[in-house]
Amino acid sequence: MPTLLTAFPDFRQLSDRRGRPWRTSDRPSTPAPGSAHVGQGNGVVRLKVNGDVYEVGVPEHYTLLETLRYGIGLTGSKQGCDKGDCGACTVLADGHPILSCITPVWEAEAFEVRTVEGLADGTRPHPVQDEFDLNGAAQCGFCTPGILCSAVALLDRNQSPTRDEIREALSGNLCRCTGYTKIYDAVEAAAGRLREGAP
Amino acid sequence: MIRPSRSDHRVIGHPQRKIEGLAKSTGRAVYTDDITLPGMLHGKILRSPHPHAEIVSIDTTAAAALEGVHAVITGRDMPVQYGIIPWTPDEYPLCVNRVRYIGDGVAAVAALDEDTANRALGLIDVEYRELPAYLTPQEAAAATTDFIHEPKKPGHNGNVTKRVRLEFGDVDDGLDESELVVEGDYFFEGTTHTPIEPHCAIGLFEGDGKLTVWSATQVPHYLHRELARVLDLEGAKVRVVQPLVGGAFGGKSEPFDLEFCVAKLSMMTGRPVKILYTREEVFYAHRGRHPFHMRYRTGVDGEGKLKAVDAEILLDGGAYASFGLVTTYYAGQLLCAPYALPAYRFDSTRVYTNKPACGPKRGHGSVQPRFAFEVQMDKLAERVGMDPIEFRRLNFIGEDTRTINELRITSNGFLECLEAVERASDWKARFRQLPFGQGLGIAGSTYISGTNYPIYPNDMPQSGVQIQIDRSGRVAVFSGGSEIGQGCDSVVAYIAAEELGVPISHVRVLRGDTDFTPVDLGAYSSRVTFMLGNACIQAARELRAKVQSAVGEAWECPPDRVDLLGGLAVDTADPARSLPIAEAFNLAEARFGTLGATGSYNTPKDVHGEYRGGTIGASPAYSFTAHVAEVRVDVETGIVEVEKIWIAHDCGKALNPVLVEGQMEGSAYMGYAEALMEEQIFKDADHGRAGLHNAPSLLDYRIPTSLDTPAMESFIVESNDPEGPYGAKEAGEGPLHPSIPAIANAIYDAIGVRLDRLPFSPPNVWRRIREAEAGGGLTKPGAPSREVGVAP
Amino acid sequence: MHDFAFHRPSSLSDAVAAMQAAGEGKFMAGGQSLLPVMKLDLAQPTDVISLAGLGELRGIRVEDGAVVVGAATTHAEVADSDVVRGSIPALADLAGQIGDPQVRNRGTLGGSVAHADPAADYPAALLALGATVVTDRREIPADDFFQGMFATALAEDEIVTAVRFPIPDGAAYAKFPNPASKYAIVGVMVARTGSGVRVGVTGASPTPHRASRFEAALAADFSPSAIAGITIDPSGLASDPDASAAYRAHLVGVMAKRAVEACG
Repeated sequence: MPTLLTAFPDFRQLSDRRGRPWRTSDRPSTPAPGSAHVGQGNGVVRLKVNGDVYEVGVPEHYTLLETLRYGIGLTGSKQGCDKGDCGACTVLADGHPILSCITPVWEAEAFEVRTVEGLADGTRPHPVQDEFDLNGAAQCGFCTPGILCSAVALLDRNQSPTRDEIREALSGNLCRCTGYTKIYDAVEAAAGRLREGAP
Repeated sequence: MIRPSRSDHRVIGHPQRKIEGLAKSTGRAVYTDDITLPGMLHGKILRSPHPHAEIVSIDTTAAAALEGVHAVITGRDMPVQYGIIPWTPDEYPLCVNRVRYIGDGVAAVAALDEDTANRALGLIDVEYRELPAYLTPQEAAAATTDFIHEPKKPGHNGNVTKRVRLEFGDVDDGLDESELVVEGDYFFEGTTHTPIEPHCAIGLFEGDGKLTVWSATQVPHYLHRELARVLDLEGAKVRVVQPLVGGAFGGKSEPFDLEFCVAKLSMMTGRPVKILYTREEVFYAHRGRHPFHMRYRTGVDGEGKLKAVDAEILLDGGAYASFGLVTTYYAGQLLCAPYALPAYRFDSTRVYTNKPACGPKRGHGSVQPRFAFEVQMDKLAERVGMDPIEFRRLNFIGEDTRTINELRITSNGFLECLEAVERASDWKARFRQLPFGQGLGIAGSTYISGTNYPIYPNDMPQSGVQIQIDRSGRVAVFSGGSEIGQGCDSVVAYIAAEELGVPISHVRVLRGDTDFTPVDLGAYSSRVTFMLGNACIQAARELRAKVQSAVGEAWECPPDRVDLLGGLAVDTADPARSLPIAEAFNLAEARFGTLGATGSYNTPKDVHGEYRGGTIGASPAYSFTAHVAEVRVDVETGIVEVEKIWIAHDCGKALNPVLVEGQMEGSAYMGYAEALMEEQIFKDADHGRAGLHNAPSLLDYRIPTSLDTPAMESFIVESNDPEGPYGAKEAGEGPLHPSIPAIANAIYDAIGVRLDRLPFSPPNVWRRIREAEAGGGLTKPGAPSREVGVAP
Repeated sequence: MHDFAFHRPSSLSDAVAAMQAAGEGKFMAGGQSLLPVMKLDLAQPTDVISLAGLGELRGIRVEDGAVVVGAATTHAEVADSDVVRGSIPALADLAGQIGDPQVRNRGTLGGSVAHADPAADYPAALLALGATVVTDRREIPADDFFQGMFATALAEDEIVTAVRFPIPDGAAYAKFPNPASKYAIVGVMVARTGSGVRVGVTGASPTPHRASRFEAALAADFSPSAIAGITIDPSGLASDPDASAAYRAHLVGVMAKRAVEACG
């Protein structure tokens, strides 16, 4: 079906930009009055990530994921598809899971970002991180950071999720290794620990 | 379901954490793209827009002149052919004079950043002369000119990669003597691995002539060999580092263009160079499941015993050989268990087509015939009036036996597998008895625990482990094993802890670096636990013996009275006498000097038939699996919902049952995905650009989400293989196979419609339902009419 | 992605001015469709103008028998809104079926409507509920809004500010999703109001449309059996590996029937 990616099959190249005319300044833009235009090609973005404030110089077209990984050096969030399809780049925006690979970095100035590196309490892992390990919920581990962010968002609002609620909450995160069963087990076990008062 | 271990092991057989588990769940685990080296450049590869064309000329002048570009290379910079199978080298790191699929690499650029590299690609001018493109195996097989590869002999069809014809017993007689022969045509659509981590590599060539390549590969050893050969470097000056790998499933089990390109670009610039595939490039890199066109004739006698099987298979190979020689054999060779086949013949042909090359995907070469054959089994059981589980029991091959194609079977827990899923699914009360639209299906399978022979002929070990222990009590395991998520780094830690009596947390696994680990051939063909595990046991036991000997000397008792367990050396005759393990290690170090040992594993050599190709499919041990799938079919829309899969798998011995279950569930999930959803398909000229991937994105190439994936329940069966480490066999690939035919057979139980083409997607199922309605309506099939062995 | 200038206007008029000054500008709401499209170079704007910071585009309220949803309201906010769930539960239900949780947390009603992906869910609701698209300069009835694949009645510098959904007597949405992506291969919303029955169909064709023969039959007899005999002409419907035109035509009937059943 013509979803947005298949609508123009004959225009779609096999990769991002390949074989296309590169346009940079053929139609130069001018900042409109009253519009906070970020800059010409780059700028300094101010982000709050895991409680820390960063000011990072980035190309203007950078996404939040690129800034986290290549600007700040927080490589826990992963790039699996770069199009918002796999969920490996999921981070929390004011507690809500979002796809950092399709979020322009400038938009992230409006919220607090929490990544997989910000889930633990110092050296003590979040119960769901610990339960992932105990239950074999991370095989290759590449989807794990994004899944943990989605799971923490769920557990922050619901400490007694049903299995169907867990499936729904994780439905934007593809895992190719586990078949998801062990992931559900881990989230349920973590919910149990949180109900018992685990921090 | 985790069964308590029956053994007296302290570590082995019990649920354990993985050694890198917390690193993975806290974001500290390092994958290739997480690495940034000082001064690193970024590379990109220009790819062919044509499915088949001659390269007339390439002009890289403008690209090389672009500010920020440091090097541009084309195929002529690395004009050495390679291929994972030494007999079929047919590809270049970058194409030299011919492109063979949309996406074939023709040039590469290293620049300050990806954006600049991409701009440079746009400035490379390639002139092509288009050639006829062969997009189906039938077209390719019928071609007389413009072959995709030059024929090996004049007059031959250059589009044929390999043809294998083997016959065991007399098939024609067997079919003639059969009471009943069932014939069927089947089609298995191609699918691809889709690891969530895209391929990524970094090359660094230093002034002293040493090359290091970091890569998300499953086969660092083979990559090491091919880098040295293609780039004309001494092997001793090449180092391959394998960071953690974010999923592979066979999709990273041979060298890829990016690994050669980062190396060459670094050799030209003196700077580290990274290439990260886009998701689209991962789809085009492929090397996934071959589309198979299959025809089976299967005969049984009046008792329901198999008499003969005749198979014809056409493999759609894509543009290069890859592992295709092996695939062509596996398509036939791996069918000969768990059922006894008195006569068997297969004729298997792999042809090139102008599409990305197919290769090994989880269950290499045997998932497709297993689908067809297990549906044939279901049809036969019905025709002879038997319950399909009873029918499978009746034809069970047994343990400690040979297959018709002379493969040696040792342990075999297939009957226990059948029993486990039969009981758990309440089969007897529900098969053929659920309401219309709901159904149960059964299927079984077997798979290898490693290939008996390495890819290149040699007599050296397939796997090696080195262990070094020191006076702190620390155990260092140097493992060449390839951790791709399956847990092999943890497995060697468990073994070392078990044998040397230390806590797992005192074991360091040093891995993923050809500079300091012994050779292991890689993570493929389900070989790792069996071979690496045995190598590790050997090294650990040598050190254990030294520690026992030194402690025995100090205690003036025989060494075999000294046990090492739980962080202590203990006198088994006087349990009150013990030493902390570190002190025991001190005694041993004082007695023997610095403590280290190596272990290695090589396969037994008498486990295959003495015929051409008889070594292919041979394995030191075979795993066995049975699934029951339960489905619900919406006949109005064609939607098949798989409600549950019961998975029973004979893994010999579960070294860590949590990891074994994870492999079983992950396999069954992947089989489910192939059964219902996935298709690696390409457009033809009537539907766009011929040879263009239909949907190279994770949005449109349908892989199951948590909402799609069925419930699964695992049953570990332990047959304790005589040669496996602690009795273990494989668990990572076998449990994929039965998912697909079990679902097909369950759909038949639900609505009486046979599905012989994959995937069972709603439009395909709906089409078959409409055909069935037009041909007389849909009905629930009848219940089996007779018991085992009773003539009709 | 290729480079572009990123603008964060603080008012609607600034946003329009930024667009008028831009070489080749694109408004961005949640960016959940625009960013992937840009990464594939299907769009190469010189300027991206974010509407996310415009407070006047947010909010959900009931006004004159209609639910008015601000254009920058996310799918998750619509799905979870007590106001929407209380007055048009089918709309909340539809919003909760879009994409996945992450997409619903960023993707917006206005962005979806303006993007006009033929497999999007919202168009079925706009058509079935007889909604009105409110822009910075006019109001456009849903029936006139969708003009083709990714094509709408909007001018290039026109901004959707809200959508007004009249509250029906009853409505339900039945969707046949693409597995994995959850896009609608076919989605049908059926709505019953004092003035009749409306049936909106998305996914089936390049342009979302109303199923007038279903509407007429259901107006006379609002029951699944009333439309059971009506076949849909597959010509003009989309055809691709996910679903042939004939299959889509069949699914429109099945989904319509199921939506009627769900209406009660």
